[in-house]
Amino acid sequence: MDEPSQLTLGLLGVVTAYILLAVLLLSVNVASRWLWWIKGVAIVATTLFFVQSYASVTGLIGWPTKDQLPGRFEFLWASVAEPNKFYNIDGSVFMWIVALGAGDEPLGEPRAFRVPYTLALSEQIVSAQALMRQGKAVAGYARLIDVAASSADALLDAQARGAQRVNALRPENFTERAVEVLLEVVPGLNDRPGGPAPMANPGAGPAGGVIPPAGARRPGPGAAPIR
Amino acid sequence: MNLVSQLSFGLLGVVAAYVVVAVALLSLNVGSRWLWWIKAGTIVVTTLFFVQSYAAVSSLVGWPSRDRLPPHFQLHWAKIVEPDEFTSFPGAIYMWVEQLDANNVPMGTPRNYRLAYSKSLKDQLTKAQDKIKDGKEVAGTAEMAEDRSDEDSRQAEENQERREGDRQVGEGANNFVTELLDVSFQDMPDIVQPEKAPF
Repeated sequence: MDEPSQLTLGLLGVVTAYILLAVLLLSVNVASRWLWWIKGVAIVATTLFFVQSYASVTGLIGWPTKDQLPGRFEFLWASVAEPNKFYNIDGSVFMWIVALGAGDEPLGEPRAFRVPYTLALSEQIVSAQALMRQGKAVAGYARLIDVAASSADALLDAQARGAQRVNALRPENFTERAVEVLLEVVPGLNDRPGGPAPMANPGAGPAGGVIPPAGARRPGPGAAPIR
Repeated sequence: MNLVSQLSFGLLGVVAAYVVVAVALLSLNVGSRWLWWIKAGTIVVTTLFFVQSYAAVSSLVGWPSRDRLPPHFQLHWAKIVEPDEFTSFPGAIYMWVEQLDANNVPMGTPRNYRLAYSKSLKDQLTKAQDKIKDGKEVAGTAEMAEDRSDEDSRQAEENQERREGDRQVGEGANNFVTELLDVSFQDMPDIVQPEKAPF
Protein backbone atom coordinates (compact mmCIF):
# COMPACT_ATOMS: atom_id res chain seq x y z
CA MET A 1 0.00 0.00 0.00
CA ASP A 2 1.31 3.47 -0.82
CA GLU A 3 2.65 4.94 2.43
CA PRO A 4 0.83 8.31 2.37
CA SER A 5 -2.47 6.42 1.93
CA GLN A 6 -1.69 4.44 5.07
CA LEU A 7 -1.40 7.65 7.04
CA THR A 8 -4.59 8.99 5.50
CA LEU A 9 -6.41 5.76 6.29
CA GLY A 10 -5.21 5.95 9.87
CA LEU A 11 -6.60 9.46 10.23
CA LEU A 12 -9.84 8.50 8.53
CA GLY A 13 -10.17 5.54 10.88
CA VAL A 14 -9.85 7.76 13.93
CA VAL A 15 -12.31 10.31 12.56
CA THR A 16 -14.82 7.59 11.64
CA ALA A 17 -14.62 6.13 15.13
CA TYR A 18 -15.25 9.54 16.66
CA ILE A 19 -18.23 10.23 14.38
CA LEU A 20 -19.79 6.87 15.12
CA LEU A 21 -19.34 7.28 18.86
CA ALA A 22 -20.82 10.78 18.72
CA VAL A 23 -23.86 9.51 16.80
CA LEU A 24 -24.35 6.64 19.23
CA LEU A 25 -24.03 8.90 22.24
CA LEU A 26 -26.50 11.43 20.88
CA SER A 27 -29.07 8.82 19.86
CA VAL A 28 -28.89 7.05 23.20
CA ASN A 29 -28.94 10.39 24.99
CA VAL A 30 -32.11 11.41 23.22
CA ALA A 31 -33.91 8.24 24.24
CA SER A 32 -32.70 8.12 27.84
CA ARG A 33 -34.62 9.13 30.96
CA TRP A 34 -31.84 11.18 32.55
CA LEU A 35 -32.57 14.77 33.52
CA TRP A 36 -31.90 17.27 30.75
CA TRP A 37 -28.95 18.87 32.53
CA ILE A 38 -27.26 15.50 32.95
CA LYS A 39 -27.71 14.87 29.22
CA GLY A 40 -26.25 18.30 28.48
CA VAL A 41 -23.22 17.72 30.70
CA ALA A 42 -22.67 14.32 29.05
CA ILE A 43 -22.64 15.93 25.61
CA VAL A 44 -20.28 18.72 26.68
CA ALA A 45 -17.91 16.38 28.54
CA THR A 46 -17.77 13.96 25.64
CA THR A 47 -17.08 16.75 23.17
CA LEU A 48 -14.25 18.05 25.34
CA PHE A 49 -12.76 14.60 25.58
CA PHE A 50 -12.90 14.19 21.80
CA VAL A 51 -10.83 17.37 21.53
CA GLN A 52 -8.43 16.19 24.22
CA SER A 53 -8.15 12.78 22.55
CA TYR A 54 -7.29 14.43 19.22
CA ALA A 55 -4.58 16.49 20.91
CA SER A 56 -3.20 13.34 22.51
CA VAL A 57 -3.18 11.48 19.21
CA THR A 58 -1.27 14.26 17.45
CA GLY A 59 1.25 14.12 20.27
CA LEU A 60 1.97 10.50 19.38
CA ILE A 61 2.83 11.25 15.76
CA GLY A 62 6.51 11.46 14.89
CA TRP A 63 7.81 9.11 17.56
CA PRO A 64 9.30 5.80 16.41
CA THR A 65 6.92 2.92 15.91
CA LYS A 66 7.47 -0.72 16.83
CA ASP A 67 5.68 -1.90 13.69
CA GLN A 68 7.53 -4.27 11.40
CA LEU A 69 9.95 -2.68 8.99
CA PRO A 70 8.81 -2.65 5.35
CA GLY A 71 10.30 -5.41 3.25
CA ARG A 72 12.43 -3.06 1.22
CA PHE A 73 13.49 0.39 2.32
CA GLU A 74 15.97 3.19 1.81
CA PHE A 75 18.10 3.67 4.90
CA LEU A 76 18.26 7.37 5.81
CA TRP A 77 19.89 7.27 9.24
CA ALA A 78 19.87 5.43 12.54
CA SER A 79 20.58 6.06 16.19
CA VAL A 80 21.69 3.26 18.47
CA ALA A 81 20.90 3.17 22.18
CA GLU A 82 23.23 0.57 23.67
CA PRO A 83 21.91 -1.88 26.26
CA ASN A 84 22.78 -1.20 29.86
CA LYS A 85 22.75 -4.15 32.22
CA PHE A 86 23.23 -1.99 35.27
CA TYR A 87 19.99 -0.14 34.64
CA ASN A 88 18.35 -3.20 33.02
CA ILE A 89 17.89 -1.41 29.69
CA ASP A 90 17.67 -3.73 26.68
CA GLY A 91 18.87 -1.21 24.15
CA SER A 92 17.16 -0.06 20.97
CA VAL A 93 17.98 0.84 17.42
CA PHE A 94 16.03 3.79 16.02
CA MET A 95 15.91 3.71 12.25
CA TRP A 96 14.69 6.41 9.86
CA ILE A 97 13.73 4.91 6.55
CA VAL A 98 11.65 5.38 3.43
CA ALA A 99 9.78 2.37 2.09
CA LEU A 100 10.74 1.39 -1.45
CA GLY A 101 8.64 -0.20 -4.13
CA ALA A 102 9.46 -3.09 -6.42
CA GLY A 103 11.67 -0.90 -8.60
CA ASP A 104 13.37 0.78 -5.64
CA GLU A 105 11.23 3.87 -6.07
CA PRO A 106 10.47 5.73 -2.82
CA LEU A 107 6.93 5.19 -1.61
CA GLY A 108 6.33 8.36 0.36
CA GLU A 109 7.41 10.01 3.57
CA PRO A 110 10.19 8.87 5.88
CA ARG A 111 9.01 6.89 8.89
CA ALA A 112 10.77 6.31 12.20
CA PHE A 113 11.04 2.77 13.56
CA ARG A 114 12.28 1.30 16.78
CA VAL A 115 13.74 -2.19 16.61
CA PRO A 116 15.34 -4.24 19.38
CA TYR A 117 19.10 -3.83 19.72
CA THR A 118 21.38 -6.54 18.39
CA LEU A 119 25.12 -6.25 18.06
CA ALA A 120 24.99 -7.41 14.44
CA LEU A 121 22.47 -4.74 13.45
CA SER A 122 24.36 -1.98 15.24
CA GLU A 123 27.58 -3.01 13.43
CA GLN A 124 25.75 -2.93 10.09
CA ILE A 125 24.48 0.52 10.88
CA VAL A 126 27.93 1.83 11.75
CA SER A 127 29.21 0.53 8.39
CA ALA A 128 26.18 1.91 6.54
CA GLN A 129 26.63 5.36 8.05
CA ALA A 130 30.29 5.35 7.11
CA LEU A 131 29.30 4.59 3.52
CA MET A 132 26.66 7.32 3.55
CA ARG A 133 29.29 9.81 4.70
CA GLN A 134 31.11 8.94 1.48
CA GLY A 135 27.99 9.90 -0.45
CA LYS A 136 26.72 6.37 -1.14
CA ALA A 137 23.04 5.45 -0.81
CA VAL A 138 22.08 2.52 1.35
CA ALA A 139 18.94 0.40 1.15
CA GLY A 140 17.83 -2.52 3.22
CA TYR A 141 15.70 -5.62 3.42
CA ALA A 142 13.71 -6.79 6.37
CA ARG A 143 12.76 -10.41 6.03
CA LEU A 144 10.67 -12.67 8.17
CA ILE A 145 12.51 -15.91 8.67
CA ASP A 146 11.54 -19.10 10.39
CA VAL A 147 14.11 -20.32 12.80
CA ALA A 148 13.97 -23.83 14.13
CA ALA A 149 13.70 -23.19 17.84
CA SER A 150 14.66 -26.81 18.54
CA SER A 151 18.10 -25.85 17.30
CA ALA A 152 19.68 -23.44 19.76
CA ASP A 153 22.61 -22.94 17.39
CA ALA A 154 20.29 -21.94 14.53
CA LEU A 155 18.57 -19.40 16.76
CA LEU A 156 21.85 -17.94 17.94
CA ASP A 157 23.06 -17.83 14.35
CA ALA A 158 19.94 -15.97 13.24
CA GLN A 159 20.32 -13.52 16.10
CA ALA A 160 23.93 -12.99 15.14
CA ARG A 161 22.73 -11.98 11.66
CA GLY A 162 20.55 -9.35 13.27
CA ALA A 163 17.30 -11.27 13.49
CA GLN A 164 14.96 -10.04 16.14
CA ARG A 165 12.34 -12.23 17.71
CA VAL A 166 8.90 -11.20 16.57
CA ASN A 167 6.47 -13.82 17.75
CA ALA A 168 6.47 -16.23 20.59
CA LEU A 169 7.14 -19.88 19.96
CA ARG A 170 4.48 -21.54 17.84
CA PRO A 171 4.21 -25.07 19.16
CA GLU A 172 2.57 -26.48 16.03
CA ASN A 173 5.77 -26.33 14.05
CA PHE A 174 8.37 -25.52 16.70
CA THR A 175 9.67 -22.45 14.91
CA GLU A 176 10.07 -18.83 15.81
CA ARG A 177 9.57 -15.98 13.40
CA ALA A 178 12.19 -13.31 13.39
CA VAL A 179 12.89 -10.20 11.36
CA GLU A 180 16.29 -10.10 9.75
CA VAL A 181 17.59 -6.76 8.54
CA LEU A 182 20.19 -6.60 5.77
CA LEU A 183 21.61 -3.32 4.52
CA GLU A 184 23.29 -2.86 1.15
CA VAL A 185 24.68 -0.09 -1.02
CA VAL A 186 22.45 0.87 -3.95
CA PRO A 187 24.21 3.10 -6.49
CA GLY A 188 22.05 5.94 -7.74
CA LEU A 189 19.30 5.46 -5.16
CA ASN A 190 19.63 8.96 -3.73
CA ASP A 191 19.54 10.48 -7.20
CA ARG A 192 15.94 9.46 -7.61
CA PRO A 193 13.30 12.08 -6.68
CA GLY A 194 11.36 11.37 -3.53
CA GLY A 195 8.02 12.55 -2.21
CA PRO A 196 4.65 11.83 -3.73
CA ALA A 197 5.90 11.85 -7.33
CA PRO A 198 8.25 8.86 -7.49
CA MET A 199 10.07 7.94 -10.68
CA ALA A 200 9.36 4.29 -11.34
CA ASN A 201 12.23 2.20 -12.59
CA PRO A 202 10.72 -1.24 -12.90
CA GLY A 203 13.72 -2.86 -14.49
CA ALA A 204 16.17 -1.94 -11.79
CA GLY A 205 17.00 -4.21 -8.96
CA PRO A 206 19.33 -3.81 -6.06
CA ALA A 207 22.98 -3.59 -6.92
CA GLY A 208 26.11 -2.85 -4.99
CA GLY A 209 27.43 -4.66 -1.99
CA VAL A 210 25.66 -6.07 1.02
CA ILE A 211 26.94 -4.72 4.32
CA PRO A 212 27.43 -7.83 6.38
CA PRO A 213 27.33 -7.87 10.14
CA ALA A 214 30.34 -9.49 11.74
CA GLY A 215 30.16 -13.27 11.41
CA ALA A 216 26.96 -13.13 9.33
CA ARG A 217 25.81 -15.66 6.79
CA ARG A 218 23.22 -15.27 4.08
CA PRO A 219 19.71 -16.22 5.13
CA GLY A 220 18.78 -19.84 4.62
CA PRO A 221 16.21 -21.28 2.24
CA GLY A 222 13.41 -20.46 4.66
CA ALA A 223 13.71 -16.69 4.12
CA ALA A 224 10.69 -14.93 2.65
CA PRO A 225 10.08 -11.26 1.87
CA ILE A 226 7.56 -9.36 3.95
CA ARG A 227 4.44 -8.49 1.89
CA MET B 1 8.31 17.47 29.39
CA ASN B 2 10.59 14.48 28.83
CA LEU B 3 9.93 11.75 26.29
CA VAL B 4 8.36 9.26 28.66
CA SER B 5 6.00 11.94 29.98
CA GLN B 6 5.06 13.02 26.46
CA LEU B 7 4.30 9.51 25.25
CA SER B 8 2.56 8.58 28.48
CA PHE B 9 0.50 11.75 28.31
CA GLY B 10 -0.52 10.94 24.79
CA LEU B 11 -1.47 7.37 25.58
CA LEU B 12 -3.20 8.27 28.83
CA GLY B 13 -5.13 10.96 27.02
CA VAL B 14 -6.43 8.51 24.44
CA VAL B 15 -7.30 5.92 27.10
CA ALA B 16 -9.04 8.54 29.25
CA ALA B 17 -11.12 9.66 26.29
CA TYR B 18 -12.16 6.09 25.57
CA VAL B 19 -13.08 5.47 29.21
CA VAL B 20 -15.16 8.64 29.42
CA VAL B 21 -17.01 7.86 26.20
CA ALA B 22 -17.59 4.26 27.26
CA VAL B 23 -18.95 5.32 30.64
CA ALA B 24 -21.19 7.95 29.07
CA LEU B 25 -22.52 5.48 26.51
CA LEU B 26 -23.16 2.74 29.03
CA SER B 27 -24.88 5.00 31.53
CA LEU B 28 -27.07 6.53 28.87
CA ASN B 29 -27.73 3.12 27.44
CA VAL B 30 -28.93 1.82 30.80
CA GLY B 31 -31.34 4.73 31.19
CA SER B 32 -32.67 4.71 27.66
CA ARG B 33 -35.94 3.27 26.32
CA TRP B 34 -34.39 1.42 23.38
CA LEU B 35 -35.15 -2.28 23.00
CA TRP B 36 -32.61 -4.55 24.71
CA TRP B 37 -31.17 -5.90 21.49
CA ILE B 38 -30.53 -2.37 20.24
CA LYS B 39 -28.71 -1.57 23.45
CA ALA B 40 -26.64 -4.77 23.19
CA GLY B 41 -25.84 -4.00 19.55
CA THR B 42 -24.73 -0.50 20.54
CA ILE B 43 -22.35 -1.89 23.14
CA VAL B 44 -20.86 -4.40 20.69
CA VAL B 45 -20.45 -1.88 17.88
CA THR B 46 -18.88 0.66 20.22
CA THR B 47 -16.41 -1.90 21.52
CA LEU B 48 -15.43 -2.87 17.98
CA PHE B 49 -14.87 0.75 17.08
CA PHE B 50 -12.69 1.27 20.13
CA VAL B 51 -10.51 -1.55 18.82
CA GLN B 52 -10.53 -0.14 15.29
CA SER B 53 -9.72 3.32 16.60
CA TYR B 54 -6.76 1.97 18.58
CA ALA B 55 -5.44 0.21 15.46
CA ALA B 56 -5.87 3.42 13.48
CA VAL B 57 -4.00 5.43 16.09
CA SER B 58 -1.19 2.86 16.15
CA SER B 59 -0.77 3.18 12.40
CA LEU B 60 -0.18 6.93 12.79
CA VAL B 61 2.92 6.46 14.95
CA GLY B 62 6.27 6.93 13.23
CA TRP B 63 5.13 9.24 10.44
CA PRO B 64 6.43 12.82 10.40
CA SER B 65 4.83 15.22 12.82
CA ARG B 66 3.90 18.79 11.93
CA ASP B 67 4.29 19.93 15.52
CA ARG B 68 6.69 22.73 16.34
CA LEU B 69 10.34 21.66 16.59
CA PRO B 70 11.71 21.51 20.14
CA PRO B 71 13.53 24.73 21.09
CA HIS B 72 16.88 22.98 21.40
CA PHE B 73 17.71 19.73 19.62
CA GLN B 74 20.37 17.53 18.06
CA LEU B 75 19.96 17.07 14.32
CA HIS B 76 20.50 13.42 13.35
CA TRP B 77 19.66 13.72 9.68
CA ALA B 78 17.39 15.45 7.22
CA LYS B 79 15.73 14.62 3.95
CA ILE B 80 14.90 17.36 1.51
CA VAL B 81 12.28 16.84 -1.16
CA GLU B 82 12.43 19.55 -3.78
CA PRO B 83 9.25 21.24 -5.03
CA ASP B 84 7.92 20.02 -8.32
CA GLU B 85 5.92 22.57 -10.28
CA PHE B 86 4.84 19.90 -12.78
CA THR B 87 2.94 17.97 -10.11
CA SER B 88 2.28 21.07 -7.95
CA PHE B 89 4.13 19.47 -5.08
CA PRO B 90 5.29 22.28 -2.78
CA GLY B 91 8.32 20.41 -1.49
CA ALA B 92 8.99 19.27 2.03
CA ILE B 93 11.80 19.09 4.54
CA TYR B 94 11.95 16.16 6.91
CA MET B 95 14.12 16.36 9.98
CA TRP B 96 14.99 13.65 12.46
CA VAL B 97 15.90 15.36 15.69
CA GLU B 98 16.38 14.54 19.34
CA GLN B 99 15.47 17.10 21.93
CA LEU B 100 18.26 18.34 24.20
CA ASP B 101 17.65 19.14 27.82
CA ALA B 102 18.96 22.16 29.73
CA ASN B 103 22.36 20.46 30.13
CA ASN B 104 22.65 19.75 26.36
CA VAL B 105 22.07 16.03 26.91
CA PRO B 106 19.95 14.23 24.28
CA MET B 107 16.69 13.09 25.81
CA GLY B 108 16.73 9.58 24.39
CA THR B 109 14.46 9.18 21.39
CA PRO B 110 14.61 10.99 18.05
CA ARG B 111 11.39 12.33 16.57
CA ASN B 112 10.41 12.69 12.93
CA TYR B 113 9.27 16.16 11.78
CA ARG B 114 8.00 17.63 8.57
CA LEU B 115 8.48 21.31 7.77
CA ALA B 116 7.54 23.35 4.75
CA TYR B 117 10.24 23.63 2.13
CA SER B 118 12.26 26.83 1.99
CA LYS B 119 15.51 27.41 0.17
CA SER B 120 17.20 29.03 3.13
CA LEU B 121 16.36 26.12 5.42
CA LYS B 122 17.50 23.72 2.73
CA ASP B 123 20.84 25.53 2.43
CA GLN B 124 21.31 25.49 6.20
CA LEU B 125 20.50 21.79 6.37
CA THR B 126 22.87 20.94 3.55
CA LYS B 127 25.71 22.58 5.47
CA ALA B 128 24.63 20.83 8.66
CA GLN B 129 24.58 17.46 6.90
CA ASP B 130 28.08 18.09 5.54
CA LYS B 131 29.22 18.53 9.14
CA ILE B 132 27.49 15.31 10.16
CA LYS B 133 29.20 13.50 7.28
CA ASP B 134 32.51 14.79 8.63
CA GLY B 135 31.69 13.06 11.91
CA LYS B 136 30.63 16.15 13.87
CA GLU B 137 27.47 16.42 15.92
CA VAL B 138 25.11 19.22 15.03
CA ALA B 139 22.65 20.95 17.30
CA GLY B 140 19.82 23.25 16.33
CA THR B 141 17.55 25.83 17.83
CA ALA B 142 14.02 26.69 16.84
CA GLU B 143 12.47 29.79 18.29
CA MET B 144 9.29 31.66 17.60
CA ALA B 145 9.44 35.23 16.34
CA GLU B 146 7.91 36.75 19.50
CA ASP B 147 10.63 35.16 21.70
CA ARG B 148 13.44 37.01 19.99
CA SER B 149 15.34 40.09 21.15
CA ASP B 150 15.19 43.30 19.05
CA GLU B 151 18.47 42.50 17.32
CA ASP B 152 17.36 38.97 16.58
CA SER B 153 13.98 40.26 15.36
CA ARG B 154 15.69 42.58 12.91
CA GLN B 155 17.80 39.69 11.63
CA ALA B 156 14.71 37.51 11.43
CA GLU B 157 12.93 40.14 9.36
CA GLU B 158 15.86 40.16 6.94
CA ASN B 159 15.74 36.37 6.83
CA GLN B 160 12.00 36.55 6.25
CA GLU B 161 12.44 38.92 3.31
CA ARG B 162 15.02 36.57 1.88
CA ARG B 163 12.66 33.62 2.32
CA GLU B 164 9.87 35.54 0.62
CA GLY B 165 12.07 35.61 -2.45
CA ASP B 166 12.78 31.90 -2.04
CA ARG B 167 9.13 30.97 -1.73
CA GLN B 168 8.24 28.02 -3.87
CA VAL B 169 4.77 26.72 -4.81
CA GLY B 170 2.43 25.96 -1.96
CA GLU B 171 0.92 28.12 0.72
CA GLY B 172 -0.81 26.98 3.85
CA ALA B 173 -0.44 26.27 7.49
CA ASN B 174 2.98 24.69 7.23
CA ASN B 175 4.50 27.68 5.44
CA PHE B 176 2.96 29.90 8.09
CA VAL B 177 4.63 27.84 10.83
CA THR B 178 7.97 27.90 9.00
CA GLU B 179 7.91 31.66 8.70
CA LEU B 180 7.18 32.16 12.39
CA LEU B 181 9.78 29.61 13.43
CA ASP B 182 13.40 30.55 13.08
CA VAL B 183 15.60 27.46 12.77
CA SER B 184 19.36 27.62 12.96
CA PHE B 185 22.14 25.07 13.35
CA GLN B 186 25.44 25.08 15.17
CA ASP B 187 28.06 22.70 16.45
CA MET B 188 26.86 20.54 19.30
CA PRO B 189 27.56 22.36 22.56
CA ASP B 190 29.38 20.65 25.40
CA ILE B 191 27.36 18.88 28.04
CA VAL B 192 26.88 21.04 31.12
CA GLN B 193 28.25 19.10 34.04
CA PRO B 194 26.47 19.46 37.37
CA GLU B 195 28.28 21.17 40.22
CA LYS B 196 30.11 18.82 42.54
CA ALA B 197 28.29 18.38 45.79
CA PRO B 198 30.33 19.39 48.84
CA PHE B 199 31.23 16.56 51.18
